[in-house]
Amino acid sequence: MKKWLLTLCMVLALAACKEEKKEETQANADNKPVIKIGAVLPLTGDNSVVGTAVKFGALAAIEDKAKGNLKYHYEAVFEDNQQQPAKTATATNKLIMMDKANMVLSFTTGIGRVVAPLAENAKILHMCSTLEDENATPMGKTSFFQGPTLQTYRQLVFKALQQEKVSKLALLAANVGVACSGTEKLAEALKAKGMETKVECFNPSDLDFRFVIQKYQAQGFNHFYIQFWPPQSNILLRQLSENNVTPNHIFGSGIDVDTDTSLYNGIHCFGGNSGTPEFINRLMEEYHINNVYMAASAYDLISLAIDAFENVEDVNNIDEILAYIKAYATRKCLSGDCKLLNNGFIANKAEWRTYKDGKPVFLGD
Amino acid sequence: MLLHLLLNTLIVGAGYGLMAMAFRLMYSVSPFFNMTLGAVAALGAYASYGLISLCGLPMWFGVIGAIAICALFSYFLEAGIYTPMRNHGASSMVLMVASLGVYTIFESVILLVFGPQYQNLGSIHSAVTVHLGFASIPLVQALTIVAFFVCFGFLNYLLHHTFIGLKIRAVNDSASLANTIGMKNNQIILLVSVLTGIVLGVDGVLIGYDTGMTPTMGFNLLFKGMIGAIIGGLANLRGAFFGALFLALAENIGVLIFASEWRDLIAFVIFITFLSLRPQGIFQKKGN
Amino acid sequence: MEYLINLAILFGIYSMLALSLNMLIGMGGLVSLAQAAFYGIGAYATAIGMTSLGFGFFTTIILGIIINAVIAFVVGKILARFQGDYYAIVSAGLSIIVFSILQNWKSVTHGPLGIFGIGKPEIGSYAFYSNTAFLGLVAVFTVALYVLYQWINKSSFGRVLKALREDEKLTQSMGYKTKHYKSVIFVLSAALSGIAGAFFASYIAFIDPSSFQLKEGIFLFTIIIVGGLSSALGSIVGALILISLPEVLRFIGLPYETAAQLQQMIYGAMLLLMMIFKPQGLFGKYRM
Repeated sequence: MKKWLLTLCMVLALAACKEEKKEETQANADNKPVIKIGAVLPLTGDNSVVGTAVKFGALAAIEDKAKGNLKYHYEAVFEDNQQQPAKTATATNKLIMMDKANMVLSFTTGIGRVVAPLAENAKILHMCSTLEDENATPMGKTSFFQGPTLQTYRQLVFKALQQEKVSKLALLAANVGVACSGTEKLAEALKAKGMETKVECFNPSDLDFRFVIQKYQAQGFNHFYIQFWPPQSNILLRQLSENNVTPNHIFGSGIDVDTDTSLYNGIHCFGGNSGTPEFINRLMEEYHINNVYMAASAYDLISLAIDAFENVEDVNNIDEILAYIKAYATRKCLSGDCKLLNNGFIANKAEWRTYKDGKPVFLGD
Repeated sequence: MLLHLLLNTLIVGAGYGLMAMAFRLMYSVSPFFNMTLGAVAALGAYASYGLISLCGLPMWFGVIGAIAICALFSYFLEAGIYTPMRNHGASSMVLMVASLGVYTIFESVILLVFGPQYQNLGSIHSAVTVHLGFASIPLVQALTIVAFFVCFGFLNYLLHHTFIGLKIRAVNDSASLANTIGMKNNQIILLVSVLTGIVLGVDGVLIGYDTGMTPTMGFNLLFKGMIGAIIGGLANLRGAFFGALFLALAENIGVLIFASEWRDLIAFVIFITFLSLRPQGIFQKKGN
Repeated sequence: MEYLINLAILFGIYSMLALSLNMLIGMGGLVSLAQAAFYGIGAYATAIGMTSLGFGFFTTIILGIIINAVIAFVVGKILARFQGDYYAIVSAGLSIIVFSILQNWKSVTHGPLGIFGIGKPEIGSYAFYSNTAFLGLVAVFTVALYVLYQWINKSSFGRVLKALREDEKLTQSMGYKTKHYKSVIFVLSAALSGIAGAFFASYIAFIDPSSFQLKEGIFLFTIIIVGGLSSALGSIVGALILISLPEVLRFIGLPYETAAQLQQMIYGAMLLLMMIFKPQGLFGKYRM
């Protein structure tokens, strides 16, 4: 028994002493009044890889803004929700009530829907980084969501498919969030344009796609569209390669988020919110992470929020803040041409790129 | 398509089957649902990752080292936790819950040490393939099938043609009787735990090179292996061998006819149906 | 203070779940890991009932009870074929099956998209918008459940239940139809969990299947293992300890990875240590 306890203590000590990652915001040297930017993100658990990317996107925005001459000192407070609604509610309440956060950042519409009413009741700003259907019901009076619209996205995918002269497409998606339903809608839209499509969705615990790939190949489908996050996206790419699907027959959304970009050579990658190659490199180097998925929209949202706080009379007056954001949300942003739509959704570009020798080559937007 | 179905069933069934055989072997002398078997297999993958990718050891060294670590881990779990608890009169339910606790601790330690990211030992570029005429599969998948058959053969030989095997089967048949005639049950159980650890280590390493590893891989693998072992019949090793293949076949047919989303559902529905209607499994007890 | 009210609401919901599970495991001796399934069904009944069908909160509670009762009746009959740890394993399988259905039956549950915009309870013209009011309602139901638990415990029904938990054959030989007793307690336990689910759905205002997986069932099981089997007080204490634990860790100020993993490690350690030293739990009266 004692041996186990000892081992346990040693492991904990080891973990606690792990190298402190650069994640704290700089000290408030000039003693300016502090504005707290709260964020509820999946920092552990299944989606932690993406949640961590969003976190560092936000921190990068604060860091960049701090280089200018600001009225306030901005401090980030992060809470982990493991992408679960119950934990999100507790974490958001903690940020609002105990940390007195001036705004809350969240990630994906599902979680945003938990945060939105809480933020609205507390009359504080809520921003959500997402890749969603712009027709989704507005979440709350104080909420803004940012991402590419499905329409922009679909048009781009169709352009790519036409270029490759695809007539039969098998679409594989993860049964997570909107991935599956979004892919089904994409398939329907493509069918309407005369393509033959089949859709199949997988549970997150599924790590074996070989048979499904073979099943569709037997039915004459040689082109695949995949909508997955890591780790499934990595496994799927390997298994597609094993089954001799050539890279230019693969169209993927949200998949090119690994440091080993050689995996993506020749593959058609879609999705916005990753930002420019310079931004991607910077985050990877500065924060020692290998995934920057959705970091760019987080960067844009936080930058916008900071601009709002800096330019209103009273940071505690939510109406002033909302008015500023509605006026200035449409602008050039890292995710490319941000545009505020009527229902509080800030639409940005969708991107189409491939990789050559491990380096991204932009094909269109 | 049929050939692909059979081949894939063989590959997937081999992965489940190693776990199924290990589960059955361990269950035969220590009859409780041991959740830590999943942990041992996951350790096989992570230990080899740690030794090869992080410490830079050569591949074979790392693999053998990982399997040895698994055997030791399995041994220490049995010696340190389950055997003392059993000797103090713990029921199989209590042991199961305890093993669940240990598994939870193990998973969080792996998360702490290695992080939640997906890792894969194999490289996408250097995959050596084995050509089979109608298909070519990566070497590691061929090795999994080979390992499956070799393990079955080895364990079968051990159980039925050696003295040690006789002792193991005696404890399986009746632990109290074996005790009465002077066999040291505890030693047998510990020996079986080492054997189980080796088989699980092999399974873990192979999976680590094939589909890759995540910290939660052990639980799912355990359940699949357990289902395979139970539907084949826990009475003998043959049951585990064929049960795992049967499970893989059923899953694949389900994927073919329906969709992958329902794969887990199908596995568990079959599991419960078999348990309800034919609890002894496909193979009846014929005296091992 | 506001923050504590929010925690208290969750504490109330989990107390209800713990009490209902303890009726099943503590009083009835039926170790089920499937409680999350009925919790989830109750939550979805409220979610769908309030958003698509326009029912009021209390109507959806009744709806949830009916649905849960029907499903629990069937599930209970399936489970009744098994004993002890097999019962637990099959219940785990059923939990996974129900989760699979919640996840994939998209036309009804919207799958992983979840259901949002779930309203708050209303009595006449008064709506329970404020958290304090909601807490009051949760407290009322929790106390009612506590009283119900004690009443069953002391009733002749409870006595027969506990008798069959200790020795089913003996109880049967005394003329009691133990199958009926087991069925009734299973259905009752499921229906009460559904009520907790209704409160959860209304409180968070958004649900998706991820809250109702097997690991939630294991978490509920851990609560009563720690608090004590067959004890109403134990259910409450267990819920208090396990709900407070993440908060305590949050405020100590560990890095997130360590805090989350430490939390999981502590859950696992609790299961293990309880099994080794005090299998009946802190306040429990029944050993598995």
